[in-house]
Amino acid sequence: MLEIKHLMKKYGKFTAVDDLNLTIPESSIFGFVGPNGAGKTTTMKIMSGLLKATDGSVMIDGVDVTKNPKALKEHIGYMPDFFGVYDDLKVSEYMDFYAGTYYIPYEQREDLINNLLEIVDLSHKKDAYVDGLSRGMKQRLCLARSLIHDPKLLILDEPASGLDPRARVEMKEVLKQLQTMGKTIIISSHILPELAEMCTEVGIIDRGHIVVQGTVQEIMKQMTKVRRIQIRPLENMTALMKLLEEQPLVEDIIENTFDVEFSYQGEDKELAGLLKQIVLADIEMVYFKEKEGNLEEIFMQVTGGEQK
Amino acid sequence: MMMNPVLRRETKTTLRSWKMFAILTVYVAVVALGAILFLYGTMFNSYNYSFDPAQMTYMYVVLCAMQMGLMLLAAPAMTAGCISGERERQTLDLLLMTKMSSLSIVIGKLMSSIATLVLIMVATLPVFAIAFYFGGVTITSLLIMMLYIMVTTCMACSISIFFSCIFKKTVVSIVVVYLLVGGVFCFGTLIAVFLQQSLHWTMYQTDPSLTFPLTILSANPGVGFFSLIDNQLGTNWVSNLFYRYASKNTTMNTIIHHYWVVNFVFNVIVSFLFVLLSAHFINPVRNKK
Repeated sequence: MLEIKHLMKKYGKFTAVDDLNLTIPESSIFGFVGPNGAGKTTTMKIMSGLLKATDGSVMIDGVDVTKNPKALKEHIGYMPDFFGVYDDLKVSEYMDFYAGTYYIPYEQREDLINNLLEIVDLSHKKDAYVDGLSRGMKQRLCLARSLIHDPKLLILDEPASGLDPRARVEMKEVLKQLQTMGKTIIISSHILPELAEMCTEVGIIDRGHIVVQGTVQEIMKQMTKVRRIQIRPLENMTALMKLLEEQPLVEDIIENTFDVEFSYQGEDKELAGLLKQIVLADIEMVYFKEKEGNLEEIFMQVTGGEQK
Repeated sequence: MMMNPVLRRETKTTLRSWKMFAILTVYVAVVALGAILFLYGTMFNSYNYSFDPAQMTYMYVVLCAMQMGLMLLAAPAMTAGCISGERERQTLDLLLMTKMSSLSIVIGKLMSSIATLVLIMVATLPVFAIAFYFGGVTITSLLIMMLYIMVTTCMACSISIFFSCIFKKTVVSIVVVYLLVGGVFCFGTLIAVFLQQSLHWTMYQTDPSLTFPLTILSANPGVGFFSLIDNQLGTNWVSNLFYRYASKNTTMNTIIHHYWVVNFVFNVIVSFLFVLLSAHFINPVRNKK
């Protein structure tokens, strides 16, 4: 769907994007994560045709959009991180205006606008002035606007920034719905955990280039050197501790009030063997689980621990 | 045919606002006040307070001059924020992302400003009717005058849009347009011609060439305006400006007597040029060296 090759953007001597390579498959939600100033917005603006790249190419369905910006406008829907709205328009008029900017015939507009407002759950605000909408509603309206010409690719620059938790959940639901409609979505954030649960793939950008790319699980596996296992026995903590201390692959055991946590050097097969041993030792367990890696820690590790 | 979306939106929001009607009321009131003061002044100064209908042609001049002056004042104020305003409101990027070309956006903005100014101009026509009541001016003359004022205003609007693309702040754009149109085009050209003529006469004691004043004054809307007045009322305000050269050369005389056409053409060319430049400057992926 989208292929970026050797993308570079320089502002004088400062290099904002440096030899960035990225491939995003169709109908995926791609999370573009990086600290402030890493080059996310610059890359997204280049993808959207709002900035000219110093070098490199951005291909959408095989068409180089840096050389053919008109083709790009049909395929891309863009929602910037900071955007304004025409406060003096009603919601339906706002949508109608953008429908006009894509030369959608008048007779098709009403149904289209109704459908899009329904997707973003703003049908009830159709006749309200944009000025009176909450921040979350304005974000959803802007999302509906970016869908007006039915683009294949949606580029959303920090769509959840400044939203309260409820509005974030609503936004996530809308994005999942759009994915089921076959849209490819690129969504940026400087908070990795925020994207982890909704993105099919994540790319971490730092100082203008992609540091790591893959599914969240792949990245975590790649970045987490030691597996941490947590077990909560129903009772019999002493027996469990004794059994664990006898295991050669178990290290760094920490006994908490209700559970026990340790590092495990073995693979899945050995870990399954350990579980079997505990069960055979007649130690009842509430849970036996691999502790999820801390996404924040991984993010800091990948980006060199710097928040620029 | 689909109406330019920017023009459609701007027209809708402008006419919805109470500010538009306030501006319209104030504008018509100012022009009407000018007409009343002229009538009062004419009657008060005349012998035994009689009324001379022949003076009504001068009322036409006064009203047209007011119209021209007010339009040139209003045009930058109404247009200089159209692109910088979008930028300040953070809606410009969204607009540039659409299928509309930069040129269509600029034309939409220009047309909406012109449409508003035409509305204001049309609203003042009843005041002009006072001058008609006493004769001396034809409807064709008035229409040509309105067209000339509109084209001059269009020139000011397109320059305003250009500076609106260049400068981030609307206030800066307005000030620069006033300086360029008022300072350079109106007064600057006259001062330049005066200096050139004086220096030439001082240095050579011969009549200076007419090429320089004729070229440079093509940018002066005031000279164009009075040239048109000369043409319509048979006065010689502009001809007197070039009095040294009048009657020496028939072609020159024709140009001098129809100098407003030169100015008209200049305004049209400048309008086109600045619209194209504006479209170039707001294009985000233009070639930068």
